[in-house]
Amino acid sequence: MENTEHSRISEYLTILGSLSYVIIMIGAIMLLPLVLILFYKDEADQLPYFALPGVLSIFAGYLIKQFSPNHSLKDLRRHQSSVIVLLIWIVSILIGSIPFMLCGDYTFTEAIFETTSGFTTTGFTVTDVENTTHVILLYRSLLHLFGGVGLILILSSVLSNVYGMQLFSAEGHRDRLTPSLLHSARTIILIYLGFIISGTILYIVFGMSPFDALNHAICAVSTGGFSTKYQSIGYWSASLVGVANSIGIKITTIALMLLGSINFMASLLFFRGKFRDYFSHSETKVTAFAIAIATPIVVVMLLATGLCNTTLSAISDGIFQVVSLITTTGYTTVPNFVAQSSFAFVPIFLLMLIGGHSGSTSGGIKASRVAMLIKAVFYDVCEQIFPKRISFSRSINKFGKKVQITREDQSQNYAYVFTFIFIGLFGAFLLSLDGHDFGQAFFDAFSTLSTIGLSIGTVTREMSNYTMWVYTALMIIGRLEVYIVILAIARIGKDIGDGIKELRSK
Amino acid sequence: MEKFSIKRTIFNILNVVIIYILTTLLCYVSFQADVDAETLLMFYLLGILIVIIETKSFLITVFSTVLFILTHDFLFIEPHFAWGGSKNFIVSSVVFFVVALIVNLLVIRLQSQIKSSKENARLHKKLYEASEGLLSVHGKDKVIEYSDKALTELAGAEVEFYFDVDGSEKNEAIKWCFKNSAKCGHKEAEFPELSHKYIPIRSNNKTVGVVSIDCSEKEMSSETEKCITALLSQITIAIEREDLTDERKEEEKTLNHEHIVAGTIKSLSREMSPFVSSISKETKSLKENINLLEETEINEKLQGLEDNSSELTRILDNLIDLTKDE
Repeated sequence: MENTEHSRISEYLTILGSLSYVIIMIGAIMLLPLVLILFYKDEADQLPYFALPGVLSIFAGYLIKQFSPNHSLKDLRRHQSSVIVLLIWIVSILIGSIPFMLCGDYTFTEAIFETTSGFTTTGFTVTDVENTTHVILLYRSLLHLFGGVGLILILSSVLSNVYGMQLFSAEGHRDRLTPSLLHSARTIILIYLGFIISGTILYIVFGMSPFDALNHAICAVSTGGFSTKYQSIGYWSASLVGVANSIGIKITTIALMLLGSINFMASLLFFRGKFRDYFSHSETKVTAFAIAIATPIVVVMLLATGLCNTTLSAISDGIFQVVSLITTTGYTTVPNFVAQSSFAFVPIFLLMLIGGHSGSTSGGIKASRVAMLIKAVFYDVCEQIFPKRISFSRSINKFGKKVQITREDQSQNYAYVFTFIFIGLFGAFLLSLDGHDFGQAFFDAFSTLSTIGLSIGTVTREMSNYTMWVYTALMIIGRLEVYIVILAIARIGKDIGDGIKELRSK
Repeated sequence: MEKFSIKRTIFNILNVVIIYILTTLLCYVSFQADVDAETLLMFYLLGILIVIIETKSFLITVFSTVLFILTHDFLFIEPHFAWGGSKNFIVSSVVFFVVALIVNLLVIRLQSQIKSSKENARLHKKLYEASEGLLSVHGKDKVIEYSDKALTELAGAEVEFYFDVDGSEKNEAIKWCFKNSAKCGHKEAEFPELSHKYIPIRSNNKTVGVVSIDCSEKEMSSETEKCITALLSQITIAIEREDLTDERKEEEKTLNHEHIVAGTIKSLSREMSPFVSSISKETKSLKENINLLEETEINEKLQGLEDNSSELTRILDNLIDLTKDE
C-alpha cells in the first residue's frame, strides 16, 4: 500500500518535472515582446511587467527541473498524459496572465480570461486595443501563436521523441509528418513561420503598418482573431487604403486563415505538390463544400440586410466571413453581421460548429469528425434502403488513402459530437443564469467552445466575473477537444480518492 | 577530464549569454524598483552558480565571473556607466570572485562524484541483470551469445570471445593471454600499444578462452574492469554448467544406447535359440539314423535344416546391420 502511495507521489513529481519546461517556455514567451521597446522607447515602463515574471518564471522552471526526479514519462499510467496536458495549459494560463495583472489594467479574472482567450486562439478580449501599448498587443498575438501551434508541439521541438509523443497525441495532434516527432515539430513550426513572414510582407504591401501586419499575420495563421483595431480587419476599408488594397488585405487574411486551419500534414502534401492527395482528403472536401454552400447565402444576406452596398463588397465580405467562421478565426469586416444574419443564421451556426481540420490551429468539432459523421449517416441510410445482402465498405479518405471506418470509430465520433453539443448547451445554460438572453448565450457558448470568439452580445468589457469564468472554462474545453479535460479530471479525482482511502486505512 | 569539444564550448558560451542577459534584465528591473546595488550582486552570484552547474567549466566560470562583476560595476555602481567603484564594492567583488571559484571547484568535484556514483550504479545494475539473465539462458552457444551482448553493454565497447585460441589466424596478444592466463593489450605490461584489451577466461584453474575489449573509443575505468571480471566469472560458471549438462546428456545417451544394444542382443539370442537347438537336434538325429531313413525322409530333414539355417542367417544379418548402424 505504501508502495502504491509512493509511486503515485513519484508520478505526480514526474508530472511536476515535465511542467518545469513549460514554465521556462512561458517565461521566454513573456520576454519576446520586450524587443519592441527598442522601437517604441516610450513603452520602456512596460519592461518590469514582462521582464520580472519572465525571468522569475525561467528561474522557477529551472529550479523545479533541477529538483524534480528524472523519471521517464513512458512509465506513466493510463490517462496521465491527459493530466499533464491539462496541467500544462492551466499553468501556462496562470503564468501567462501575470504581465496583464502587473500592468494594472486588468483584474485577476480579466487577466486569466485574456490569456485563456489568447492561448486557446478564441479571440475574445477585454483589452482596449486602441489605447494599450504595442508590447501588450504583441504579447496577445504571441499567446495566439504559441497556443495555436500547440504548447506541447513547441515543447516537442526542443525535447526528445520519448518525452513528447504521448503528450503530442494527447493535445489533439493526429499526425506526424516525418518518422521523428522532433523533426515533425520543427517542420510544423517552420511552415508556420513561413506563413507569418509571407503574410506580414503582403499586409505591408497592401498598406498596413509593419506592427499591425505582423500582429494580424500571427493572429490569422493561428486562427485566433485578436486585432489591434476595434473594427478588426474591417478597419482597413476601401476608404482608408483603397479598394484594391482593401481586397488585397482580405484575400491575404483569407489565405492565412485557411492555411492555419489546414491539417499540418495536409499543408505539407499541398506544398509538396501532391494536389490529388490533398484534394481527395476528406477534410478538404468538407471545408470546400461548406464554403461553397454557405458563401452565396451569406452574400445574399449581406445584400438583403443592407450590410453591404455593392455586389463586389458583398462577395468579398461574404467569402471573408464564411472563411473566418469555418476556420474559427473570428475576424470580421462587417460589424455585428451575425446579430443581423436573419435567414443566414443556421448556415453560420453550422459553419461555426464544423470548424477547421484536426491537427491544425483551429477549433470546432473538426472537419474530420464531420466527414466521418456524414459518411456514417450515409451508410446507415443505405443499409436501411438496400437489401440486407448488399454490404457497404465503410471508408474515408485520409491524405489520399482510403481508411476503413469501424463501428467503434463511428460510436466514438457520435459520442464526441453529442458531448460537444451537450457541453455547449450546458455552457449556454450557465451563461443564462447570469441574466443573459438564452439565444445570445446559446450562440456565444458554442462560439467559445469552437474557439471562434464572435459574440452577439454577452461578451463585453463590462461582463461579470462569473460570465468570464464560464467562458474561460469553455475556451479550455474547446481547445483541448473536450475529452482530455474529462479524462484528466477523472484521473485526478480517482487519484485523490485513492489517496484519501489509503490515508483512512492507515 | 572531459575532452575538448567545439560544439560543447559553443553551447556553453550560449548558455552563459542567456544567463547573463536574464540576470542583467532582472537586476535592471530590480534596480528600477530601488533595490540596492549590493543585493543585485547576489543576483549575479546566483547567475554564476547556474553558469557553474550548466557549463561545469572552470575557464568559462572565471570568464563569466569577471564579466558579471564588470557589468554590475558598470550599470549599478555609482558613477553609472563607468568602471571603478567604491572601496566596498572592490572588496565585495573580490569576495564574490573567490566565492565563485570555490563554489566552482566544489560543484565540479561534486558533479564528478555524482557521475562516478551514477556510473557505478549503472555498472552494478547491468552486472545484476546479466547475472540474472545467465541463469535463464540454456545451451552453450546461447550463453556465449548472451554473454557477448551483456559484456558489450557493460563495457560500453565492442567485445569478442575466443575459445579456439590455437587457431593460426589469432593474433599474438590473444595467444599470449591464453598461454600465460594474464591480461594484456591496451595499457597493460604486454602489448600496451594495442587498442584492444585481452582478459583470460578461467575455469577450474585452467584458461578456457580469451575475451577482447575494444578500448579505442573509450577508456575502461577500474570499476568497469572489476565488473567485467566479475561477469566473466559468472559467464565461466554458466559455460561450465552448460558443459556439465552436455556431458550428462552425452552419458545418458551412451547408457541408453548400451541398454538398447544389450536388449536387442538378448532378444536376438532368444530368437536364435530355437533354431540353433532345432538344427542341433535334427543334425544329431540324421547322423544317428541316416541308414534307417528313407531318401524322402532324409530330404525332408535336410530341407528343415536348410530352412532353420536360412532363418538363422537372416537373424545374423540383422545383427550385423545393427552393428553397422553404430
